[in-house]
Amino acid sequence: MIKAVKGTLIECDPAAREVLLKLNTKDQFIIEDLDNTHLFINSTHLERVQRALDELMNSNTYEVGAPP
Amino acid sequence: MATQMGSEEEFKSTIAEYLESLPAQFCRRVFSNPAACLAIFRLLSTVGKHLVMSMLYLDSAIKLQDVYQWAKPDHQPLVRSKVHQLRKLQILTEERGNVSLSPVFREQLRNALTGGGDFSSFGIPFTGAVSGRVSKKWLASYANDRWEAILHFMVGHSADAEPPSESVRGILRMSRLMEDSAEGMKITNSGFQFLLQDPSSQVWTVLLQYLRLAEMQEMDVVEVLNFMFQLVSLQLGRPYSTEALTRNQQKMLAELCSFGLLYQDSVGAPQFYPTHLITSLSSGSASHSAPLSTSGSAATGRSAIPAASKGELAKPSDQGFIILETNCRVYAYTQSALQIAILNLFVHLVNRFPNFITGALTRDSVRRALSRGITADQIITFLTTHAHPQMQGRTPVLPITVTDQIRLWEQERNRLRPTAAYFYKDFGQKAEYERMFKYAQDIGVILWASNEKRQLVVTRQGHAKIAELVKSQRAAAAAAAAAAK
Repeated sequence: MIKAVKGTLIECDPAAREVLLKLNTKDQFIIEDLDNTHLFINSTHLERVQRALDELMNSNTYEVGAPP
Repeated sequence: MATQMGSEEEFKSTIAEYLESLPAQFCRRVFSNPAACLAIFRLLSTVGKHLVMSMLYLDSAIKLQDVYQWAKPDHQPLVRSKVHQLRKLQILTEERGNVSLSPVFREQLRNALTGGGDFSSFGIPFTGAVSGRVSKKWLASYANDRWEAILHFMVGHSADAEPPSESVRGILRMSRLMEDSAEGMKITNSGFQFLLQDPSSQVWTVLLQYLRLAEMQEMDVVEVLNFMFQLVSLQLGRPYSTEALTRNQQKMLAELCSFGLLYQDSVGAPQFYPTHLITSLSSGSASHSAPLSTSGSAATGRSAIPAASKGELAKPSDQGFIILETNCRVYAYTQSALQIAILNLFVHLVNRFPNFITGALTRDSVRRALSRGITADQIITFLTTHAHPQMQGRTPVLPITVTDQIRLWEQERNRLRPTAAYFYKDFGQKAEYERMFKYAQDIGVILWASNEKRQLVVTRQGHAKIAELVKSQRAAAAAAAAAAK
């Protein structure tokens, strides 16, 4: 029997996908891991995930020399 | 480059879109005005102008196939798309494979070009005595002051100036460039984008908004449109008579005065003057795009700027004043509080000197702008159009390292591209999967599919249609089963 699941398709680069998979270990929001660049997730978590990814990326950024 | 031209195309397409949306009888009424025909003709692309010109003195229809033959085979798609556009604008009419210009448009454009017909649509020059104080130069500074005062008001640096009139604020509010908040009016995201546009796009935005306002107030749109097209074909620095204007047009006149697009000595004066903001709209669009056309050859791009339309009117602040170094540092030769406020949207400002400021594009400053809805392309276009003459000579104008970095910062923010969707899995048989896959493909709703896993992701709209299909199939199957019993 066919199952239809409502959610959000995420298209991303493989690096971002890894981050999402890591976040997923804390609380399960990924419904299906489709392939290298696609994930299907629970829509209610979208905003939180985006913020979390942004924060993580932010903490991984280094300014070359302070702004003048 | 493509994107920079894009903004130019965009504003033209918005007025074009508006014309396209008009019903046929409205269009005919707009076309019955030579000034409107000429203004529309000026707004067409070069290829569009060619097509119209070639057909202007043909009295009978010609075969569409023949029109396509005018271009070399590899350029035919372009001609096709232009023909399609002209038909949407109702300039071209097609009948059984033959095309011709709309008779009204043909006649009035001929009138406009060769003289004749009702010439009052080009504005009636005022012949009475006028005060000598209104010169082109004075008009230019008047218009710039008015326009900048409005932009100033938008960025919220209007402490030293009185706020613009109620009608101006009304239009800003209606176009959602600003919104009301607890502490007065506040600029919105689209307002920030508006600030970065070139002046002619900004004026078009305001005029289009005015058309919508006119519709809402149940004014005659054709009357407003004709007046608008009349205004853009007026000659700068000459007084025009207000005598022949209708009441709605008088009202519009007063409101456009408050934007600095027109000037009147006093309310109800018998004459008005157009300013360069409005007269350069249809003719001057070429001069605005000239600084942008830098990828081909910068030298020809620069010489293409007509000296008259740029030189005497452009205020120092309109000329290029920004220097951008490869290390992302920005030097801007300006004293204008407005320009500084705009730069402050996406530049980390460091020092301010009497005649110039220094700063740098940093990841944070650009991200702040991006979070306000400003796009990387808008930032790049702004920096390109306002680049210092010293930089204008280079190709490309901006250092590639910096433009790439700005785009990378933008991409970084949008690493995830989410789409609301439905996910189908656990198909029983291969045939069932393939049938649904085929159907979804036909209606173009597939976002992702895997034949091996027999899984499918479709858009939300697609889901509704597929659900209907499944339901009707089930009903058919049930009916068949009932019939078999």
